[in-house]
Amino acid sequence: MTTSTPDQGYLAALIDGEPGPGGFEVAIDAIERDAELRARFERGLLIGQVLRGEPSHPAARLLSGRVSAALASEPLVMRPSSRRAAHARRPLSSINRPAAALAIAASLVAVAILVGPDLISGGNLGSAPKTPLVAEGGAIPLETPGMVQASPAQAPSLAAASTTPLVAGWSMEEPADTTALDALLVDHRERASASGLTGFIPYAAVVGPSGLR
Amino acid sequence: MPALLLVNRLRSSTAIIGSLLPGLLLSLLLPSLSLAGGAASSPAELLGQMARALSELEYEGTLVYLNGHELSTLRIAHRISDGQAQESLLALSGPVRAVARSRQTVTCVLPDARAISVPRRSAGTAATLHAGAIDVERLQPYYLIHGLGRSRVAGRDTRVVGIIPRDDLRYGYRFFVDEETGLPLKTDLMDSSATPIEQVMFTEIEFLDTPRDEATVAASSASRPFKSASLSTAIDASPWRFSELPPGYRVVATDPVAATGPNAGDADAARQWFMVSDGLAVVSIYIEPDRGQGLAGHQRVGAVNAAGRSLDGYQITAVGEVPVQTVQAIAAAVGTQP
Repeated sequence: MTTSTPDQGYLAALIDGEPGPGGFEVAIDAIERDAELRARFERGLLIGQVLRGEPSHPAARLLSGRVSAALASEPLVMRPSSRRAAHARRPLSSINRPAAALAIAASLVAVAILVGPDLISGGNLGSAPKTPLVAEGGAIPLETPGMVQASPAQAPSLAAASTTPLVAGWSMEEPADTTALDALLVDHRERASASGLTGFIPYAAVVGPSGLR
Repeated sequence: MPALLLVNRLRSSTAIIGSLLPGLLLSLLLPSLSLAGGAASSPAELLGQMARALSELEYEGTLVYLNGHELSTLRIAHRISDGQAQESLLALSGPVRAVARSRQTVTCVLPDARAISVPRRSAGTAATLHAGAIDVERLQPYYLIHGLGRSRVAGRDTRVVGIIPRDDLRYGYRFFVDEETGLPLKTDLMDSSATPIEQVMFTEIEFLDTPRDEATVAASSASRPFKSASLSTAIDASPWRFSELPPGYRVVATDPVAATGPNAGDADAARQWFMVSDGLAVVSIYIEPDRGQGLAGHQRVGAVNAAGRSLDGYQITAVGEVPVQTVQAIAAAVGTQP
């Protein structure tokens, strides 16, 4: 039995919707700061997608690094420097409700059984989601080009593949440009919501679409 | 003879169907509505009640989002803390997507695990279009506003208000407003032919007790005007000008710094923002130094359209929940003052 760590808590917060102490945003902050944690998060997402039989794009795993590089060079994320300043506030804990956990509990159990130890321990999952293992569950859709891990040698080809837009939506040539446009969309929603004109859930249109083709 | 009887019966049946067809179509347009109305509030009153509820109520719930053939389930928690609305939204189906609106920032985790943060727009730095209720009189030339009776959403009684566009330059809305609290429990975004483009509906909701003082603060904060146009006041957009905006649209707000011109020292500061609205539809225009990576042409995500172009070394990007021809026309309307 493994001991729970903050990283596990962050992953649980984002993957199964159970924020630990500090709330949901703390987990997002941690993911943003820690490239390794972000990579584990993305692996978890990808595994979950395959286990649930959802379309997935292995090239998406290269995205965070590219976006991070873009973020480092492009001042496109419109966030104040004081964002991480500690401030007392009431955390939003409702995401910790059973409804959230139940929605994806089945896939999490499968993830935990199949690849949990490696995922939780931070081990290299480079070969973890072996195709035969997943194929036994019959979960890989035909359009999913296998769960081939992105080894350095394979990275160029996958990078080339990733020039195809990964999500249905903005189809910009570069992920950084897509991110820039997404940032404008989020900013627009925030400003429009201040007017109270655009309905009761200003961000439903942001997170509603699954983004998968 | 039997054949003649059959023809007559067919004719009478056709006549009956023809007389019922408009009603059938109306019932399709207004699903599950009772048009009895009862002691109905006016549509304007309902919209005002809705605006207050949005700024005062705390609630948690599950809702569904429908766009095209895609259906998603979302979990929402909405709180008022120290007078400010805070919110978390998590997709329960499909890839993990989430939004957290905290005191200072809005953070989104998008389907491919990208995280984007933007600052919250507090009363001193961004714009509110109006204080509270929608200005029904201003909308009249461009929208038909009707009470559409009653319906039930998430097991609760609602009154329905339809805001139908008179042309194809804007979308319409259908709000299902909770009779007890005023919160819209279902919102349909529709095109000019009343075809739903995007629908969001609670399937379950729990209202929380909101401390009255916090709600009051929230309401006053939400209604505090800042660099926004009372609709008779022109916004100083220099060095930019907006000519030939689509009918009904005008520049209604900007950031305070925007009117002073670009500041090349910082990207965010250099980015200027303007809000263009017809009183209901809202389009944001972003003007920033052109780095050759901006949007050229138009793109669409769900009901949101974006259009972009270059102008004199600046990138112009317009984003909003309006038809593509509108967002293109608004982007094209941006020019420099002589």
